[in-house]
Amino acid sequence: MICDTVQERLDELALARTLEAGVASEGLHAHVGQCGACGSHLHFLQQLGDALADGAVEPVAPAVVSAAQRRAARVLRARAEPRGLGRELGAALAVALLALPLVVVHAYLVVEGAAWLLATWVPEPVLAWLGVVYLASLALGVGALYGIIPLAVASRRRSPMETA
Amino acid sequence: METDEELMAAVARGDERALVVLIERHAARLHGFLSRFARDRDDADDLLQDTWVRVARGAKSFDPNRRVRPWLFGIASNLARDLHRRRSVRLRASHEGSGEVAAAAQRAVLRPLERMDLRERLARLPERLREVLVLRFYEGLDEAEMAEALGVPRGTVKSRLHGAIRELRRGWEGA
Repeated sequence: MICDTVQERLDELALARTLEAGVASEGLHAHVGQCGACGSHLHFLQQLGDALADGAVEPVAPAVVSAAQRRAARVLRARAEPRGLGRELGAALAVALLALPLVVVHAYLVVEGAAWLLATWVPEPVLAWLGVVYLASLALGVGALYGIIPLAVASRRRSPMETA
Repeated sequence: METDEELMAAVARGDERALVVLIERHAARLHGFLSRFARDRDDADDLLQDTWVRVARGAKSFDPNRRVRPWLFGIASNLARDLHRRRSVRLRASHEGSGEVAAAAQRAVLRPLERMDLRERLARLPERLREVLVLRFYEGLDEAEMAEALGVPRGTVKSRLHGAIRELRRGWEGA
């Protein structure tokens, strides 16, 4: 019997944790008993098996398993509901649009009130220019705010996957 | 009892209960593998969670013809290797220019094998050899499963296993 073949088989038996039983059942005893190299290899594998078997690790903590379940479930949920985006965005925009009439009324009152207060001292073209600048700034602010809404909704939907 | 593959198919459909069952079934073994491979319990805790997050992310693209167990160990192994690689790069960067630290590290690496016990030698095995030894000896994966998990041919797994044993035996006679 070729020693390389025997030693490879001994390796396989040791790794499968069936060294002793395998040596006996496969009739390797005779060769291993007579061959110094294979006998020494068997002795090494027995020691290796003992050393590896000693290397028990602490069992996983239940809290770690629960955390894994929570995080993975959150990701699964987030990935399972991609079609809710349009509805969620629509709801956010609808709520934001409710505030729009208030903004318009408020802007009208501010412009009218300022015109009434300043009409005596400020020439009309300057008043008109101030009114235009104020309304343009307000429109820009409101537009930017509404523009952020889709980004905020998308970011809120992505966050469970990123923090998981 | 549902098989892993049936559970995975359910997970792909978004079934959280199936995911919980899979985690309960495999968490202990995956954690054992990660503890031995990463050699740090805290890392193993984090890597275990990351493994399942990745499973949840990849559930829809899971090939139903594959076996779940090798796939799980493959994910865990990739994550552990990535972590090790990132650490090595950081360590190298922080050691650059520090001659004393580098010399101490080199002395540790060059410590004669004869003075190490087998467990210490296992811990110092190159990653690709330690990985197959842990998967085979502790987790009981066969060669085909390991080949699937690691994405290498079966012959490579076999030669790595024997290589690991040869490496561990080197110097053992003199110990």
